[in-house]
Amino acid sequence: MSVPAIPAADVAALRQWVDAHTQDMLDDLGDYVRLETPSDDLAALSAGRDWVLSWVERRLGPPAAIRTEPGGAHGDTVVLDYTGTQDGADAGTVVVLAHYDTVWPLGTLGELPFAVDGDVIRGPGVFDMKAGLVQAVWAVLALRAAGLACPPLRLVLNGDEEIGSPASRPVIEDSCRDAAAVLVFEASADGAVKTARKGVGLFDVTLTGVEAHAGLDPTAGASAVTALAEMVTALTALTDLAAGTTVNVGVVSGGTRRNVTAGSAHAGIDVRVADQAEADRVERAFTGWRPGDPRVTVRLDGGWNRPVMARTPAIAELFERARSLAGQLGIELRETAVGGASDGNFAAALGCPVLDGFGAVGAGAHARDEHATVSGMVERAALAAAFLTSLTAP
Amino acid sequence: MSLPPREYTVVGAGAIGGTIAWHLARAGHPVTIVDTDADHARAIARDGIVVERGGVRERQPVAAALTPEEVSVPLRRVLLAVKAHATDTAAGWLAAHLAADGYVVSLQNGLNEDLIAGHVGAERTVGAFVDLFADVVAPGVINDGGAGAIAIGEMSGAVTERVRELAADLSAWGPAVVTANVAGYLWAKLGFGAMLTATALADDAMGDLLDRHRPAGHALVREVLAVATAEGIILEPFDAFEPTAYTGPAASPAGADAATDRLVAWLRTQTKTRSGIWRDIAVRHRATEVPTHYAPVLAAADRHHIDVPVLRALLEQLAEVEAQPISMSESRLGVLDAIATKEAAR
Repeated sequence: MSVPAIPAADVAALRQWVDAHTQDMLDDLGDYVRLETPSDDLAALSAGRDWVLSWVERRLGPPAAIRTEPGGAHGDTVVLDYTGTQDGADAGTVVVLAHYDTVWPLGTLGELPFAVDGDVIRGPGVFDMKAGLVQAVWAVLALRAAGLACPPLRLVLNGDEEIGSPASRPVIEDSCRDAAAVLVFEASADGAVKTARKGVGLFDVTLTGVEAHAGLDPTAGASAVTALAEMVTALTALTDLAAGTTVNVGVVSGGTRRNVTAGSAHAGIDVRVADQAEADRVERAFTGWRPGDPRVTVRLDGGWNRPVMARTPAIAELFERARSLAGQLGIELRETAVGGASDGNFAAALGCPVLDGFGAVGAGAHARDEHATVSGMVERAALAAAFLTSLTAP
Repeated sequence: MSLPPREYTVVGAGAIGGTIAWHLARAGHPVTIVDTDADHARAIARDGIVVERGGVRERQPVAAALTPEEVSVPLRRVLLAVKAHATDTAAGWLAAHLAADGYVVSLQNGLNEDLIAGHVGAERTVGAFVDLFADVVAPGVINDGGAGAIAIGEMSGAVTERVRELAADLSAWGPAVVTANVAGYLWAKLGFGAMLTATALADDAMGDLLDRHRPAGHALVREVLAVATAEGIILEPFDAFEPTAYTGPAASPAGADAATDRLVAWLRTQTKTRSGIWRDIAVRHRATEVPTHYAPVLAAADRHHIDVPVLRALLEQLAEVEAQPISMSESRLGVLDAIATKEAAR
């Protein structure tokens, strides 16, 4: 596959400019991290959203269009549209996905303050994924400073990613539908971008039996708990580690009293699959499963929370482009298929070319040792800039 | 520099070889690199070796960087740092290029000394244990994650002038000591390594996975160390790993748990949360060295009629994950836990 290189002088200029603005990037990141944005705190999320909006506007200027979708019980989703530069305006819209919520509860900052120690940046959410958004914004600034073409951009900022994007999912899908490329500035996996991700299914099964006195009239009842036991065994057996499929019945409950044949039972199930065929196989087995006692009825709720992100030719092409540009920057960019799901899965399921994990370099997402690196921020912001301008080339 | 310069040849300029070559060259020793990758050799000849520490890259030229075909003079001090699965080929080549009074020291992971001695003779083979945190981040660029330790020793256990010299010169890198028991370190590392390998079956932090899957981790250590003990090896502690807590007369379940607590705490202080094996599978998409490292362990287990069911299950699962990285899953460690628990109940 041949990928258009951009002139070496331009790449060097971008890198140099970003390098010279390292401290500005760190200052922005510090401000952003010091504003805690846990997914389950609406007041904190709205303060975070306001800060992000004013900051983006301060850095990039007012957007051509701005749309705020209320999240209800969750954080709002904001969509900002920026027109491209004149020489890049004909390129397709590039969507940037960046959630502003973190997994860290309010007050974490007290124990884990924002700090830069040599190359290591710490603080709640630095790696997942506050550094990513800062890099994306500074990539655009680098293009403007270098006078290089920038395609039309759509920034999608959501505040409910860490809880599965229940409110933002339709907004994300709507925003990505016509995208030429979707860049997810989530953290990298050991520097590697993500070109495939597992799909995640969250299912709830409710079994309804027939209650009866277990001692006096043992055959009159139909036990939902017995059916549940059969189901747990049957569904767990769908696990196929070699195929990348796991089925975990993580939560069960059922019955009312010791001497009553259980009239109801419930199971909460987590499913991970690596490809659509496995998703289909598991779903068929779930919908087709019936208890031994036909009097027990089954209701299946939930579904695929994050669809499989498969490595399509279009995704492979985006990666090849990024890898080639990274080579010009002296970075060996790799790709990986490991890691949990992200909003990139939604865009990929629509058939969009997606590059995920395009954000911070570091480690420790959701963990106490969470950190990003300064060198990674510089390198990846320069890479993002080169990538964006390359998309404007015919 | 206080020490006289000595000529070294580093065969294999990956993470270990590159780091050691960089430090030796920086200390003033003439270092020749030999690497089968012609592009890599030429890049080093042109640009030297670049080591990145704390985000800062430093370049160090070396005396020469050659492909094996370009080597014409007999080699005296050879530091072998190829991957374990390339040892046989490299040692065969060295047999034809090593000076009569030269030696080869294995700066590798795994048990390579016997294989090397088979090619160049036991008297020209020096053993070493290398505990070094480095990673090739780009062609010719190595991230130096810090020094653990190097222990060097003759196969016979004797302390000779050449191992003393070597330890003194390698001190340019970090703590390098002479030992009479290289095998004790190498086997201990294989025990520890089995636990770390298990964490590469899932995509999560090493310390967390080890903490949550102690039955598997402890069984793996015990299996490997039982084979070592049958081989007559006296195990040596290193870093935060204490082999005697898991096996031998002083071992107890509570002691093993306490030792694992310390190990987990130590792993959580490391900047790198994933293992090199995980990186090979998930990011580099290449076969790991693990099967090569544990082939001698399995052979010795067979010789001594020792069952190693968890180790065998681990190697099978690793092959599956290597073939399909997306099939990494913590459930795989659960499977190992179940085997370990079943074995313990027998």
